[in-house]
Amino acid sequence: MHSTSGPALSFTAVSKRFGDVDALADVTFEVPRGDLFGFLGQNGAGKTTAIRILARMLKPGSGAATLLGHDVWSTPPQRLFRGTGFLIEAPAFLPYFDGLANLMVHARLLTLQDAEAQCSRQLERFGLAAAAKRKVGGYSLGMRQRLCLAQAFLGDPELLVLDEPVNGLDPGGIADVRELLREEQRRGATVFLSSHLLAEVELLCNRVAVIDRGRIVAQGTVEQLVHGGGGVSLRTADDAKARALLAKDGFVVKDGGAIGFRVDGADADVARALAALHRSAIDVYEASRTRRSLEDVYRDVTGT
Amino acid sequence: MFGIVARIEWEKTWRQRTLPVAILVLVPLLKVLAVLELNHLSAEAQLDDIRLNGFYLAAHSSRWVLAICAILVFVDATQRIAAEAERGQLRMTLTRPVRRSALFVGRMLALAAIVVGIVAFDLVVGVAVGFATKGFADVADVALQGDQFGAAALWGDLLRAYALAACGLIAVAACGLWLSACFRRATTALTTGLLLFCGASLVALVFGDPLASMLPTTWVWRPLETMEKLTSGVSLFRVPGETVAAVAACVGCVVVAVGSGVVRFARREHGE
Repeated sequence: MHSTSGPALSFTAVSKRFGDVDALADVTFEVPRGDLFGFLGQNGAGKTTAIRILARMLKPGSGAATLLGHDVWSTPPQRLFRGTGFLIEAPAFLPYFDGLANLMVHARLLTLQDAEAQCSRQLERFGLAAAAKRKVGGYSLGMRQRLCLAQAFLGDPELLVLDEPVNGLDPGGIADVRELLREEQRRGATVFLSSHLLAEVELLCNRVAVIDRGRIVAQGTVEQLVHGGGGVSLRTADDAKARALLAKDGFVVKDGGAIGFRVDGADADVARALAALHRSAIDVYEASRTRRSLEDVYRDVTGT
Repeated sequence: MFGIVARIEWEKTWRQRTLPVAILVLVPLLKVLAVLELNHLSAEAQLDDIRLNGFYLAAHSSRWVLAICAILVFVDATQRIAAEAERGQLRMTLTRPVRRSALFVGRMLALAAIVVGIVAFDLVVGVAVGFATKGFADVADVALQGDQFGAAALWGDLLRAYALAACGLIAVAACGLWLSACFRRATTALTTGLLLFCGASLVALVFGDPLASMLPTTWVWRPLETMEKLTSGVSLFRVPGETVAAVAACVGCVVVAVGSGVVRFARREHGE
């Protein structure tokens, strides 16, 4: 049995090198039980390496990773993976099997009692009931992705490790998956979601870690990371003069795109900036409060 | 878990169709060719003194059928792990609560079952064709000392020859599966395997016994050839005389291939 206390998943000082490249360098983070955890990073940042280590496909150079309280590399797979569902990279099914038969392969390996009923239920949840008896070779990319999610959800796992789960899905499919993941969280499952879709993660996850060039550069709840950030977008009678004035007063001034310019800061900073413009008799035509997004956090911490 | 994996592999073989279709076409085709060849021989009265019957027909045709099947089984075995690793299917299987050793041994069990199925099918077709054409009578060895071999004893020899051929095929499959666990690319496993297969056959051909007796490929066809010679009056040597050497070579090969394959597959750190 799995331990019911402690984090659902953890990395402790995990490092992995490929030749001269540090794929992971001293990576440490924990995913509390019941969380919807976002693991963010650009291509090549080390997300997939981390997931492969969790899936026992790569041995870390140093450090330890755990799944539901079990050390990944010292626990036999028949104990380690009994309670987890994985979606790793692109879906790969047996093309000459139909959707149901492909799921049955996984259900049998999980030794599920009511295998066929569970497979049918998952196919139904992911909108594949009508295609259950069609060969997977004829499935579209989106259908394969949904089948891949269905196999990960088989057996109602305690922990779902999903690598880019909405790849290839249309907007409707993405919304469905979002709702299903929330449903899983309500059921008590933990979801570890690796993605580069920042808006999606911000909508869905309550906690995130950002990985960049193999290192964790930020982690915490979404609230903590975006807290205190944001600012105000301004359009004034004389933008150039206003920008110069605010910059001189120590404000962080940025290009605002279509709406003049942007001043970063918390509520108090915004009030001070507006007061400074008023004192200098620069008319403010438009001001809109901007909240710091996860994308801003991501750009700040990764320097992109 | 071995049984579950074996059952999944068996199902894959059926649904993929390539191997079953090849066997279902190949076996009856070669039997028919053997009958035509035999009729041609009889017509030319080249073997007047020996009445070639079903025993000869079954052994003669199966020698070729099973030699070709050895190649098919070997190719199939080299793809069992490597091809799935390459396509990413193995990656998904490996995140399930199953040991790699169970995945390997389960596949081996499935291959053994497939081999037994092939040999049994070949035997059944051979016997059916034998009954339909020449019958299974006693064989009088006129060409040599005139020894008489009763049909009852020859049935034992025939079944033993098929059983030894099955052992040889299982060992060939084990070698293929071992190679499949050693390589991450299906084409590399297949190319290496075929080179080894051809190399071993060449070595056996050039150096003959005892080296050839140590190769499992030899035992796919040799007991059937022994049967063929006996029932055509060319030799008095019987199949039971080959049993120990055949079983030793095949079992040894299976043990080494499965053992090293399990270790190799379990220790492999990979991007599957």
